[in-house]
Amino acid sequence: MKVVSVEIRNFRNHTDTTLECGGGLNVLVGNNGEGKTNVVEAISYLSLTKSFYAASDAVVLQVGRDEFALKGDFSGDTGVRRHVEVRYRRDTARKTFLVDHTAAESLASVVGEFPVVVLSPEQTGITMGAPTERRRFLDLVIAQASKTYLQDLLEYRRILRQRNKILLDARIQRREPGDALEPWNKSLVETGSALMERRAAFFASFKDALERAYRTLAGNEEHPGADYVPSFKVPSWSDPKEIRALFEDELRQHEDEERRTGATGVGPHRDDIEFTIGGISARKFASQGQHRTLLVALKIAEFDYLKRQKGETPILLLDDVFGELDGHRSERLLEEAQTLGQVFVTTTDLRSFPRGLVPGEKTKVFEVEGGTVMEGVH
Amino acid sequence: MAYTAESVEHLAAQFAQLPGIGRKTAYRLALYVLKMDKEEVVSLARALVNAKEKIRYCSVCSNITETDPCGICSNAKRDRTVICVVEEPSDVLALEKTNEFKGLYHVLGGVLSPLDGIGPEDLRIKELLGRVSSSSVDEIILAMNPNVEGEATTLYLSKLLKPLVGKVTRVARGLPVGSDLEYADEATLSRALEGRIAV
Ligand SMILES: Nc1ncnc2c1ncn2[C@@H]1O[C@H](COP(=O)(O)OP(=O)(O)O)[C@@H](O)[C@H]1O
Ligand SMILES: [Mg+2]
Ligand SMILES: [Zn+2]
Repeated sequence: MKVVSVEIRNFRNHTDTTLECGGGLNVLVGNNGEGKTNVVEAISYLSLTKSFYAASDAVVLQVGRDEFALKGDFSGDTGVRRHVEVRYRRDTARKTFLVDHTAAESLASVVGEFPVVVLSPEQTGITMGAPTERRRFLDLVIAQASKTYLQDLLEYRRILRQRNKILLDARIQRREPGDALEPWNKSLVETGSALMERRAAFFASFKDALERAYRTLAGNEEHPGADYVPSFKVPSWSDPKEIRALFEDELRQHEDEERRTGATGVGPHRDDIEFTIGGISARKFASQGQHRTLLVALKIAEFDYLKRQKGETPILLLDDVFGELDGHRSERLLEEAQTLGQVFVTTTDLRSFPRGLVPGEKTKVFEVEGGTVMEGVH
Repeated sequence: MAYTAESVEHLAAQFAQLPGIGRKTAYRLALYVLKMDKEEVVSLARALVNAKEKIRYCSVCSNITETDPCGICSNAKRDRTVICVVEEPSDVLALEKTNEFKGLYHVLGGVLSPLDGIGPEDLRIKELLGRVSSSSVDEIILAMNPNVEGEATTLYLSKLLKPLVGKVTRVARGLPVGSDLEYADEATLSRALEGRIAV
């Protein structure tokens, strides 16, 4: 998949920006605060139906405007042209997606149609931060690969909120939740188990990809690992009935705790991932350099995974990554990225770019200034 | 819109309270009413009041009706051994259009949704259990919408009903997830009814 062109209207500091993208490397160059990240954000918004930076749509709407619109023309690996556009209005706080000029029946139906992989400084939390950040990473990858997963995920979140409301009401009113919980327990276990099975299957195939990517970048024999750590121990993933029985049992064991806290104590919303380097916890012991390499490797592995699952090459968005990596690793990343497919890269200074990057035939350079974008260096 | 008359504002505000009508559409409707003949407007207003005054809930199935019991409950040709449980009167309408179902209905008046403050006591569940134990019902079909709340309601009801009724079934999951019975086309609904499964 490639972005052929993007139109950005009233989104962040871009009032009326059009980009005719190159099929290979696209470099967005400009000083800090000029609007480079915003372009990358716009592309990923079209793909993921939301911003990976901002918490709400109101935040990305340009200050003082009533409506923003993004349009993207895409071209699939087989050359099929796809079109996607989104409009968001302040007064209704609603966004509508059009895919190939027809209204999308839900946001979930858009996710995965235009696969992207985003690498930005915000994502260092995946290896260093809280479990929430790792779950977000996991969900975003699998959801792009599988619509069933996304559907289950949305249902699970709804079930969780309904169930937590019962627990919370009971706690506040100092009474037992009673049999009101029962139907929600069943739904929680069923949908939650489906999510966990899908996550376990993901890791089984993701590990190899991670190892390959890490070795390419680090060029040494350090072994990276990524292990699924569900909220309760599951000895085997082969028997669906067994998993559900374990989950039900765990719910019973968490009963007292749930009545105290007023929140669901066990389930995939409490899952985690343990990243290791050379068999040792990366979160606890890895150096800054190892963390960075691991993150980049994760993203390349994500790229690999999505490509295999979807039979469609994702678009790679690299925001401000070269300030973070040393010269050697940057060069490796760029070399690798250019072989992968279409790449968008942001930078404040073309000269600080690795030697490997001599704007070539397949490279396009865009100058970003005050929310406008111009092709070529001026 | 500060220059419009207060009565138009008021009318538009009334329209805007209706489901699926935004501010813009509300104004369009209000302005359209102004263009209508007076008789037409009066007849529209009468129809609104008339419906409200005449329509009541059936004391048996809770469907909307002008007569009590409703036309379905009092129809001798309907199969009294099967009850189809639905969320809203609009679901009865949708299922009746399929011409597939010959039994009786029970309208719950919603689904379980703690977030909206709706628990079992807010739905017509007691009435359903009353019907089941006081007459000879062989099968209950649960036809909630295919979403998280519909599922929980199905699970809740099936547990209550199983000891009381020989056969408790649910409509097939053939309905697209997230879609309402109300909006499903007739063929899809017929298939869902035909392919019902035991719970
Ligand atoms: N909703 C918004 N409306 C208008 N301008 C915005 C909005 N959100 C962010 N900006 C502006 O966008 C600029 C930052 O753009 P960004 O793409 O992050 O810069 P960079 O080129 O450093 O990546 C800032 O000047 C900020 O004021
Ligand atoms: Mg930036
Ligand atoms: Zn009736």
